[in-house]
Amino acid sequence: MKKILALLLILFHSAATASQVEIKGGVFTPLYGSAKKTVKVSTFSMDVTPVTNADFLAFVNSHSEWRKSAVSPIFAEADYLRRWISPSELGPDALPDGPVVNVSWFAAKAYCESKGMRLPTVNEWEYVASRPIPGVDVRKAILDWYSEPTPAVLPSVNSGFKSSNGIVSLHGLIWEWTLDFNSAMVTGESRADGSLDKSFFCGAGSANAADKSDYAAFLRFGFRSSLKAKYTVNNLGFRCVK
Amino acid sequence: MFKLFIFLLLQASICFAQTGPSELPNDSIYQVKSKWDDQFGKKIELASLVGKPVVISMIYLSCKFSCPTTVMHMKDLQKMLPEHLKNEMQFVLVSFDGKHDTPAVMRKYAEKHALAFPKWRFLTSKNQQDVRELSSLIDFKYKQIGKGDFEHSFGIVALDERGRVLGSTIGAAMTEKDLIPLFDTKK
Repeated sequence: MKKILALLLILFHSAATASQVEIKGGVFTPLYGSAKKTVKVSTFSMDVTPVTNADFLAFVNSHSEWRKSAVSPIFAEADYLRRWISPSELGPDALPDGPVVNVSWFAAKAYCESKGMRLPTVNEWEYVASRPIPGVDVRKAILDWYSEPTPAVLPSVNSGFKSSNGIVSLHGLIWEWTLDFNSAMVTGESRADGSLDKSFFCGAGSANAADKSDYAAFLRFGFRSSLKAKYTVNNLGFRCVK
Repeated sequence: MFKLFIFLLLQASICFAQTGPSELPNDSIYQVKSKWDDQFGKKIELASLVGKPVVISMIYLSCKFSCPTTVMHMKDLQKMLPEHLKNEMQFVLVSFDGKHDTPAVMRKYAEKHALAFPKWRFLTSKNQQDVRELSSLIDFKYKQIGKGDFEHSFGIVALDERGRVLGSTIGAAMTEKDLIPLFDTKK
């Protein structure tokens, strides 16, 4: 039985350590940019799926400073890896091929670096997110998903929407960390207002938006700017790029 | 020769013991493993700042408005420091524009504003993840807007001699003067 489990784990693991897809560079208009200007994104490679629990378990096993039992409170909140039953075991609430969540930005950064990669920038992430998903009204589907509660056990990283460029679960499974998540919605007033908290709640901020009907993107930018790097949110994971 | 070798080895181990990450309290921002370029092009880790209280801020050197003010505020603080802190205090300016603020640019800026080493140190990195990590640890936000220009938070942060955040003027909750007594409170 144990052997079968181990084999399954390995299978899950190899399925989960999916390769990357090359994202051809190009130009797009992010929701918030420098005066609604288009942004150029260079070619990069992105993980097909978010990082799985099994992937992250292998990482903490070889980088003990990122174990739940060892991690510094300035790098991750107390809820870090909350769904795991122990610092070195996943348990029933964290499927091996499910996305790792309750991870801080610092932990996500360290994971990607350990693979010689990094987190995607907001622009890179949104650029990929702006691609069509075959047969799906993307914005409506995303809003439907945003309105659903997070399930107690998150399903496989392959269960989200599949984009036309081969990227899976960018929408429809979890939220994802970005490298410069906390630079969203920085206003011209930032020099006077260091914490920028006002800008997070000010409705006038939307006057700068490129497409006021892209409500899903509003939600993402709003969510990102509410985060701090040590936060460990229940439905927030990540994927890496190169 | 052998004796010298042993001596060097001992020195090295003492140095390591003093600055090794394992010695740091678990709320020290010096636990980060990032490497930074100083104004002489030397690679250093933040843990090398261990041993002295620090005033740190982030700027970019081609900035015309708030950054010179940041430096001015740090100088004001320097003047206000009581004798026992005056000699000890280390002032660190971190540029988030690693692309343009090369060691040569940092040295020129230091000279222009009379910010002499080793009291004043300049650091930068071309690794945006590492810059973002440090900025997150001291609650400092920045965003590139166009070529070589940034929007950013404004303020300075006080660290104890082991890299723990004591207080900050970011968000204007405190003034420079309010930071001074914090250096004397033992955590």
